Amino acid sequence: MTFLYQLAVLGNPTTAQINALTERIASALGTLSLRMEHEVGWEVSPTAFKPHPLYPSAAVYFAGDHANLANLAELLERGIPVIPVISNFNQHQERFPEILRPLNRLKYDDGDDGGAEIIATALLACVGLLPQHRRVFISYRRDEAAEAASQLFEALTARAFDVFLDSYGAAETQEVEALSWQRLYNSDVVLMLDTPSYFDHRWTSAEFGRVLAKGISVLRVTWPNATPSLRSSTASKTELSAEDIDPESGRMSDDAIARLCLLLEAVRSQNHAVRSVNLISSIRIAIETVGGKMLGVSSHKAVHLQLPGGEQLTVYPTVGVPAPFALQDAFSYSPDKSVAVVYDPVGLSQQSVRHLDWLQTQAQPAKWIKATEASQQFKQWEH
Amino acid sequence: MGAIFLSACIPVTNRGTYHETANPFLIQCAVRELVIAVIRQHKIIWGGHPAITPMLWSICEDLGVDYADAVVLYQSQFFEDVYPEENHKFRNVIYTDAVSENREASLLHMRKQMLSREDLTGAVFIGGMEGVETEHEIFKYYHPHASVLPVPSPGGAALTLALDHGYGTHMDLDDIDFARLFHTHFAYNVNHLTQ
Repeated sequence: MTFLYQLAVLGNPTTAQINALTERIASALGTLSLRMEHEVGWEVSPTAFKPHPLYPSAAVYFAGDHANLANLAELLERGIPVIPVISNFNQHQERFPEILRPLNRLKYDDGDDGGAEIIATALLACVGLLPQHRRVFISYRRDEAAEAASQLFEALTARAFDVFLDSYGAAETQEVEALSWQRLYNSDVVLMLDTPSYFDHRWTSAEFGRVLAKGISVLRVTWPNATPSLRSSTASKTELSAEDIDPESGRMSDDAIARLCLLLEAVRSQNHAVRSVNLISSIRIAIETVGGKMLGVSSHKAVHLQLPGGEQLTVYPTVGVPAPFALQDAFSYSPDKSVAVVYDPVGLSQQSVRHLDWLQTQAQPAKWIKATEASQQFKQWEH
Repeated sequence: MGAIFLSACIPVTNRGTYHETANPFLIQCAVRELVIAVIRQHKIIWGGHPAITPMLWSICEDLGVDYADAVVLYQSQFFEDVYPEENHKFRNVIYTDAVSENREASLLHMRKQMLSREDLTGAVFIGGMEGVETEHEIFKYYHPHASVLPVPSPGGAALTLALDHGYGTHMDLDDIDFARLFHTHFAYNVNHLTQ
């Protein structure tokens, strides 16, 4: 069975730690309408953790004597986040395998009920399962699909998606249009309600090309009697039947809503996996080009690098638009380390790129790194 | 600067079984990563696709590359009634003659013109249907020693090429790390050609 998200517990956790973590993860997933062992895989102490590459994955590793190393080296090589966890019982670094020692660790306080909560949150963050990471842009034509859009907004919000309704066709101010584009660039998925006169009215070729250049997924829901545009061919596709939508009210059936929500989750998880893999890979290529190496990925998707001279640098890749506080967060996650935020400039608005270029001139060494220029930045890196 | 031929298309349901293995999002991502990996060192030569061509414009703009210099689009005059409007925006379109008002003959003529270019040093195949397989045959005819890379994980005709012509023997067919795939492939070929 292929899960949409894949999580694992490795190393030497105690039974109590496993039970507490399992309960926290299951509870958090419930708020997203996801279920362990249905949409989310949960492997505890497997001989080897071999997640499918097309869906996001992450693991925690509990230190301890005789801990099973599983296939740790392979996971780190693949750029799959592995979060080393120390607890009251196993708090010495030497209990970690050497390949995990450069990575950021989390502390599990066995005497504190919140111990498992912190680990669970970190694990879910690595696969994009915190609500603030789940961003959907619903695009539709107001006079053809307002009711259905409203239903989907409510259903997806109930599943802890951060949903933006882009009702093109309404009288828009420049500010509203700018906000729409900002929210679009930061989305994982555009949920496109493809009614008969939607696509060509909404998107110019250049605008839609920019969406695809950003690496955003599109889920196209084709209405009965609508003919999809060839320009949206890269979208994931589903079609509504006449039974799925009431022609009088424009409301969708509950079954259709549930089906679309699950389909969107699948499209979204794939998007997260593919973009993360390729951004992390770009970072690895950049550091290896200048003679350094990538050591692994840990909590908050921290990518740990070793520069050619042996110094360590921790970078935080950002798939969407880097948030203003991203660098502040990076410093707080890695307080004693040299840090930077790496972002993908392709598909970003020119305004965002100009702002980030300006920020880079204000911080030395550069803290905001374009993935497409990372090797030059790594070469020149100074503490 | 050498040129890379790109053969890419999204399979449709009423033409063969290519759509059964195709993942349109992976086709989008693979083309995206290819263009980012090569466009500053190579021209891209291809026949265009209404869903993909605008993405190339955007990527070139963001990388500071002149799209009209970096990409060459071939179009047959057989299809002049349905040319995308944007053809007029750019000076990088090469139009080939229609042949006897025959669609297949016109396409073949266009492909021969496009693939016989002497500056082509390699070809990449992503997704696609029977046209991708045809373009593979023609490319190999004109450039028997050039590098060929069918990308398997997005599926379609490119997966068929990888499986049927032995390209897939040492490849991970599920590999979605396109950044590494293209970096490794083109770095190897640069080294190979300069030795």
